[in-house]
Amino acid sequence: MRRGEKNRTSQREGIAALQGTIMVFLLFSIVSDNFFTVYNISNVLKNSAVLFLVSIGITMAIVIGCNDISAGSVMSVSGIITALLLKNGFGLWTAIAAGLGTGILAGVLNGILIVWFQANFWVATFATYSIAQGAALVMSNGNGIAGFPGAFRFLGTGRLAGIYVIVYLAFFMGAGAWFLMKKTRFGEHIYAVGGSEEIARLCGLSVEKIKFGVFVLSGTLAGAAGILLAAKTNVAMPSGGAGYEFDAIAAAMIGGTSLEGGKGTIQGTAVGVFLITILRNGLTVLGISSVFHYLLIGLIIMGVIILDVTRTRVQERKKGGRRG
Amino acid sequence: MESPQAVLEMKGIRKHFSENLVLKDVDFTLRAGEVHALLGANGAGKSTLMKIACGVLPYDRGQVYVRGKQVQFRSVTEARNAGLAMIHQELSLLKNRCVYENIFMGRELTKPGFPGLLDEKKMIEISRKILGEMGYELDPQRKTADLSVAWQQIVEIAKAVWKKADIIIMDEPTSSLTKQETSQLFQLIGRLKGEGCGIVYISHKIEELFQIADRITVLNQGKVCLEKEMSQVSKEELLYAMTGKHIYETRREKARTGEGILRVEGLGGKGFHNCSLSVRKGEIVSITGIVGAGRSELVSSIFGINKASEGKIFLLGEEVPLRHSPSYSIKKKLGLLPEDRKKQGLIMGMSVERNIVQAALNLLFPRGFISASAVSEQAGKYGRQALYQQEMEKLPEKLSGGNQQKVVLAKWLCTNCQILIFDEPTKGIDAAAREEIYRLMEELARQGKGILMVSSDQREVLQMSDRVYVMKQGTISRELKREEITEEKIISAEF
Repeated sequence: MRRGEKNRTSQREGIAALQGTIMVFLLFSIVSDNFFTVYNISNVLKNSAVLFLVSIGITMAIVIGCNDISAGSVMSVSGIITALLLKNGFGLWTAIAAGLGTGILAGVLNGILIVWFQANFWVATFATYSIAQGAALVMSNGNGIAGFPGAFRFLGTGRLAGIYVIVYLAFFMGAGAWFLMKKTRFGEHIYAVGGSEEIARLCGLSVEKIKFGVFVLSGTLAGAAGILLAAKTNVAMPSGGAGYEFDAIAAAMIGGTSLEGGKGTIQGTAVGVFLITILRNGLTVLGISSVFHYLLIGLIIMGVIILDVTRTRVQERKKGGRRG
Repeated sequence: MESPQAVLEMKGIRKHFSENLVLKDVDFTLRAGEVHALLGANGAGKSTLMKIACGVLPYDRGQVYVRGKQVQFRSVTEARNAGLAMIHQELSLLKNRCVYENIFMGRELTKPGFPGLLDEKKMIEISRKILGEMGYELDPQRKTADLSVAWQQIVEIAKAVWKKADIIIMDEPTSSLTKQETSQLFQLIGRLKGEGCGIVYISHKIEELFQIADRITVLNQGKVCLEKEMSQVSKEELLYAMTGKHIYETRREKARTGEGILRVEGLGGKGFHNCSLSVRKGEIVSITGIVGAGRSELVSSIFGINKASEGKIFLLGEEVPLRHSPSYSIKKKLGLLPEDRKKQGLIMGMSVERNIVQAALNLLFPRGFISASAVSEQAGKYGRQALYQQEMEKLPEKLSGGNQQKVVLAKWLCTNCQILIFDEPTKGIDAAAREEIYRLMEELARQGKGILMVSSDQREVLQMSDRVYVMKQGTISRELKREEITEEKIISAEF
């Protein structure tokens, strides 16, 4: 009986976003003939995959009580590095390893700044954002690098049993992240540090190590997203990842991750990613200018914030009442 | 009082914070299977002593022995591994996590052969078992935030039990429990005692101590002034031990008071209820009481930081809406000098001059354009009563605590406040600067301003007050007129 109650409360947070996503989905299916087609749905899934990868890392960073705004430009630079190596005749796996390595490096940089130098996470990840963006521009001379070998393109556009490879990749990464957050000691500690660093320390956790780990993970996932973005579009642009960090933050928030830290789930973020991608896709299919995409997504995030704040206020009032 | 079965022994512990010696060679012994009460007025050093025992704070001199072995804990983890657990007044549970997750936090069980992989089933099972053995039926999968404070405390104790702690320190465990919850807690303490745990019990509620404690140590200003079997002491003896004997000569002379300028009727809100008080022109009125009695909550509701839910507030004879804002209070000539000057009183990165005019900007520059020379002039006018020119040019963070307090005071004078609330005006301020603050307060009262002072410092209350309100458990339990103010009366109303 009580266990049932608990499950209901923990799921309720994600459910509003899920209902919203389904409503938007149905709405587009009815309004447009071109939305609910096999072609378009697999397109939505493909587009969700890249955003989902970045969003996983950012969700972890937000749950631990920080944020990572470097992720978008880390995507760009790892895409550029992978592309340059491929163009210069290096093997597929070398190029991918270098791209991932770039992401890890960026995460380590964030971790050092935040843990070692005690820098504020906004400032630290902004510095990394700028460095990564700069590196991408310098290495590419400001130009996109296009045309990759088929094996590499297969990662982004190939299919297995009718479903894009990239979708499988995103699914497995998501499942892994869900497992990490939910079933492992490391995940438990991420929630603890996000809930209260002080209490976590009193419980004997090594707050620094856990934070460092989260930023390395976030960087790595951004690197992977950058590689897949290049594979998907067949071009690595020096600013290809720009803006992904904010879509990812929005996705996490829509999915119930609280910027206060200590609260949020991977499945919630997945819902947020779908909502944003479906909105973008649906509006494009309907032929509405991209100007309105920003407006609409902005309004939705605003709605989520207002809901979040009212919900906490109502909860606080309830608690105050109980005490008095 | 050496005893072979001592589980925790502290000998000659000395500790200072900046220049204040807060523990003066304190000895403390806890035996297995006893509840040892620790009593003392605010600032007597109880919590400091226990934080030293648990490795939260370092100490200057002395030795700590656990089960006869000398130890020197450098961290909470080390103390915990030696079997010490402290249950803090503000519970250290993660509100967003479940009960079992909190019990096992930092010491999670993992599946055999899979390091890092949580064994939730086993943790839930053991949590249920521990709670069951303690005599409680609580679903370990409940979210901690949904539990009442009493249940949270039980979880906190379960955490200590699971860690096999046999030295448990409880800091004011019953401060937010109902009578029934308290007696449940006492049953639990009795059971732990039976299993051989030594329990240090810090509390202000003397009646409780007679119920639960076996032995008592009373601290007064960092010194042990009584250690006895609980059955051999009386309440009067304890009160006397807590206060000692002080002679107060420098009592301020009787004030000439005018009409009432602040009146509060039946005010209630979060942490306090049914409070009525008044302050007249030229009067210094104190609110005293133990920590947690609701003093700061009351005055911050009067000022408008927290919102009161019932009652009436009158400023300068006019009724004020209950849910008013601080800026409304300032307009009505009420100012608050907060307890935490660094966080709430001053903007540290801004010059002293600009801090002084901060609250008066609307008044001085109604059109919104700020003139630097006018700022200097105004700040000088109010600041120089108390500060030297060279201090006016510094940043507030470079000033001593006393001078920071003077800056906050100048800030309120600049807004032409008629009523000033001082929350712990001399906390963390050295003796010489204290006297200066007192002199300024007297000067203000002489000018006809009304002062409401919240203070835990008995000496200051006795020395400065024209009247004293004593708060106890969220309401005003006693009003003392000038001729009635004695230390004994205050203390007996506090407890």
